[in-house]
Order: sequence, then structure tokens, then C-alpha cells
Amino acid sequence: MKPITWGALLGLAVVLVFLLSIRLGSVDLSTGEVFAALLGEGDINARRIVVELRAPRALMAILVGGGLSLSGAVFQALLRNPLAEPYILGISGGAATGAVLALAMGLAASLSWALPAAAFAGALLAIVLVLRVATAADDRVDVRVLLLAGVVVGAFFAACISFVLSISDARTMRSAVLWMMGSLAGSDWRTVLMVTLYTLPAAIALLGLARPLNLLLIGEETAGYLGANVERVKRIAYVLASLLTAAGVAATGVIGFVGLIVPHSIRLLVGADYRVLLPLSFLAGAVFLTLADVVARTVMSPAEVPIGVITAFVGVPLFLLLLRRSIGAGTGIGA
Amino acid sequence: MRCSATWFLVATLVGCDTFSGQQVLSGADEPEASGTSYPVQLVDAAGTTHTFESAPRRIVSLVPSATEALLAMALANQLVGRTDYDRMPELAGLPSVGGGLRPNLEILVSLDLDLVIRFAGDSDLATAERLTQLGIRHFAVQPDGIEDVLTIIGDLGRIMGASDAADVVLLEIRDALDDVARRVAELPKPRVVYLLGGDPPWVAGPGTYIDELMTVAGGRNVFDDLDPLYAPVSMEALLDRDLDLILLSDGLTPPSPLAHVQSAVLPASVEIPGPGLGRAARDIARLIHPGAFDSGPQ
Repeated sequence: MKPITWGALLGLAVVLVFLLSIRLGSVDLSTGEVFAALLGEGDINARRIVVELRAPRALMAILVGGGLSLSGAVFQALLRNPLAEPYILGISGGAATGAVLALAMGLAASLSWALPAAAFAGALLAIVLVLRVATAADDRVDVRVLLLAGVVVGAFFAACISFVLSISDARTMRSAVLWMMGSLAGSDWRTVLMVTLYTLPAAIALLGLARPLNLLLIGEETAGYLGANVERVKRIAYVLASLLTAAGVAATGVIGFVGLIVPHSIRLLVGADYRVLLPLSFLAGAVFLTLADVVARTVMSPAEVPIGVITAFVGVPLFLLLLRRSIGAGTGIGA
Repeated sequence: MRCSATWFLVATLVGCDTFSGQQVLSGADEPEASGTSYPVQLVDAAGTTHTFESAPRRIVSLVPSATEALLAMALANQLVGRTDYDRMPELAGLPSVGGGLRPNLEILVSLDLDLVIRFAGDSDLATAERLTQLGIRHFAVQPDGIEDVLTIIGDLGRIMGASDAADVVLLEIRDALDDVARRVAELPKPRVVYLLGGDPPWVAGPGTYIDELMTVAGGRNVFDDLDPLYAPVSMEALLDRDLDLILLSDGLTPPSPLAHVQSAVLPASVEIPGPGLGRAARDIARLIHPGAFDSGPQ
């Protein structure tokens, strides 16, 4: 299939999974009731369920799934490492440290925005720290140093979390563990708006970096010869992909696998041209996370399965299947 | 329903149905205004002031101790949902809203509620916010200690228009606590620890409900110097505290280094800070001071 066909199919799929997501839930609503609710008619409780609960949650899944997948694809190009994913450079650790501190200090109890704000601040701290270390020697970003610094900073934050939790009471520990498992349950229109304000500009800017990212894959030196401002591209790509991840983490906690599996799957399907890979990764990530969330909140209703469990249980077998097939077809997985 | 002659004039002005409906007031559907006069104004454990114009008719309690308090006041008919942790037979037929923390909001909305009883504190701040957005009234409770439990029972009694029933429950609890306190008053205080499981084991520190029960029951919590409410402690610290008795949470066995110390397992119901707290205090006191319960009532 041509990339444009893939794009059209995935675009259509985003709309379909959105509709599916507002159609299905713990409470049985008919298709008619859901449409009536969308038009502001019908039973008040059905309207609340569809408009206040399901719709913002579906949109959040689209934004965060797309954002994670896109930033995963960018990190894989930037670090020239197929293992790269949005959290590889310590962002999840920084965000979780911020969140756990907000919980342990009791800030989260008095101010509802303290938890996402602290998580976002922690993620920003990790981003700045890693970038400073990676550029310490000279002004150039050495991606090997970036990778190493990110992994080490992540490990440091993990130790911070363990320490804070070990001196916290059981309630803080429970809240922190719930947060770190990731969930879209807290999505309301206000958080959707906040995440949109971060995701859309960052995503559009990253899509604009597709051509220089293609050049980077050939090698930094060659990319320089071919007219790319390599240092600038690396910095912008790193900061934007990180911000995209940070916004998602702050709103929904750490949701794994999306940023690793989705871009690789798309790469296996359409090849490594970033002009195609980036937009398709966004769309596929949106579809994948929205579907995973539908499963997460219906399969054991009324209880919810942590969404990270679903992304792994569904994503990993699917990905392994794709991987096996591609080996037969001779497509490379390398970034 | 028949309109009585005395009401005839007024009834024809307002409509007979209205008044036949009002007669239900003294019926089974709505609790009698016994000891409660509406509006009722209360401050909940989250510091929010609530005004109740009438008794809520459809409620869900996310907090087991509040659920038990409502059942003890014979208000099971007002409960229209339960959590996965409520296993009481009275609630078996009700739809579940999931856990007490992060309950399923869709189901809560679909139940058309007048009131949700929820946990105060930061364990589940998101739920409180969402309930407000969805226009569902929520009352926060924090069942940490014995006094908190008594407050919850009294508050729920007022909210539900069942203050008399609440008073009966409270009186029973106070009698049981007084009885236990009287029996152990003159006795020496054995050194007791309460293990909640885990490796290293978690223990109950000061300010916890379990610590209070142990104290009422005439024991001394050897970890009354602990800082957070509950915390894991090392086996060395446990050995060092020179224990007389180990109380174990339901399903636990004593850790092998402590095998030489006398131990007893308590039923899980003891750990729910609710209307059963009088019984829980007596159960614990019987283990600490078996001799004190040889004579007298119960």
C-alpha cells in the first residue's frame, strides 16, 4: 500500500476508535442514546457519561497515544538506537519524582493541579539536566553521551522515588503506585485542553523536522554536508519530543510500550522515511492507545485494568508477530 | 390514598396528590425525621460545608466503615450501590462501582445518586473533583481513629435523618468500650505489637485505630514511638522491643524469629474502623487479658 493510503486508513481509524470509545463503557448505552447525548439531548446522566467522562477520555487517549508514539519515533532517529522510546532519557523518572514529592508533602491533597504541575516540573528538570550533561564538553550534542546521561539520570530519579516512598506512609505509597501505573481515568476537559496546547504545536513542529531527521539517519557528518544544521535539529528534536512526553506523563502517568512498539510497527509496514513515518506513527499511536483504553475499562468492569498492562499484553504479541514476518520479508528494523 | 377531611380545603388548593405523597414522610420510604430537623448543616473531613435540605434517598458509600455504620442504623434501603470490598449479604444484589478508591464514575453517574460517601485525603483527590464536576454531592470521611468513627456515625445519622438510630449505635459502642476499660483498668499493661504483614513486617504506630484499640484493651503498643501511622520495622527492632504478645492480621503466621513469643490472629473485621469497634476492643482485650473476662456480662 502507498503511504497516502495508510494515512487515510489510519485517519479513518482514529475517528472510528473515538466513536467506539464513547459508545462502549461500564454502563450500557445504546448508539441512539450516545448520539442523543452528543447533541445535548436525552437523559441527563447519559449526557454526563458521554460528554463529561467518555469524550474527554477518548480525546486524551488520542493525544497522549499519538504524542508518545511520535516522540518515540523521533528519539529512535535522534539517538540512532532502536531501543529508544519516549522515557529512555529519564523523563518518566523526573516526572514520577515530582509526583511522588507532591504526594509525600501533602501538596496534592490541597491543590488539585499540584500533582500534574509537579510531574511536569520534574520532567523539565530531567530534560534540562540531561541536555546540560550531554553538552558539557563542548557545544555539540553527542547523542551517545545524551543516551548515557539520560539513562543515568533516570536511575538517579528512580532511587529518589524509592527513598521518598520508603519514608512515606502507606497512603502516599498507594497513591504513588497508582499514579506510576498510568491511567486515563482522570481526563476531563481542562486536562484535555492543557495537553492539546502542548501536543499540537510540538507535534506539528516535529513533523516539520522529518527531512533533517532523515538526513541524520545517514550520519551527522553527511547530514551536515547535505545542508542540515545538525546541532540545531538535534536540540529542537530533543526538547520538543521531551516536552510532548512530559505533557502526556503529567496528565496520565507513565504509559509504556506505545512509544516503542508503534513507531517500529509503522517502520516495518512503510519503511524508514520520516516524512511518512512521523505522521503515521502519531495516527497509529492514537488508535492503539484509544483501543487499549477501551479494553482497560471494559474487560473487568466495573474495575479498571491498568492501561500499561493492556498496551503490553496486546502490543507485545502483535509486535512480535510483525517482527517475525518482517524478518522473512527482509525489512530492517534499525533506525 | 385518601385525603383526610381536615386537609380537604388545603388539598384542593395544592392538589390532592401532593399531600398523599407527603404522607409517605412517616412511611418506610423516607426515614422518619427522628431527632433530625432539616436543613442539616455539617462540615465534612475535607473541610467542606454541606447543607442537606432533606434526607438523601439514593446513596453509595465508598468507605467500608461508613457502609457498616449505615447498615447498623438500618439504612440499607438507601444504599443503591456497593464497592467490590463490601461483602455484606444485605448489599449482595446491588451493582458494584469498583474499588473504594478510583471508583467507576460511569456507574456512579448512572445510579442517579443524591450522595456519595468518600475517603478524605489525597489518596483519591481526582474522584472528588470529578464528582463535583458531574454534579454529584460527595461527603468526605476519614475513619482514622475511634473518635473519627463516632463522628462518622453521628454525622451520617444526622444527614440521613436517623439520629435516634445513630444514638443507639453510639451508646452500644460507648458501653462496650467502657466495659472493656473498666475490666482492664487495674491490670498491668503487657507489651503488644500488631503485625499487618509484609517482609519486613508493617506495624501499627501511634494515632492509628489499631493502636487506640490496643490501648483501650489494656495493652501497650511497643511501637508507640513510630513516626508515620503504619511503617515496616526490622526483625531486630521487633526482637529488641521485648514483646509479651503479638497480634496478627487475618491470615498471617508469626515470623519464625518471633516464634517464642505468644501470638494470636485477629479476624479481618477488627481492622475496619466502624460500628463493630466495641466488639473489636473486646476481642483484643480478651487476648491481652483473658482473665478479666471470666465473669460478668458477655
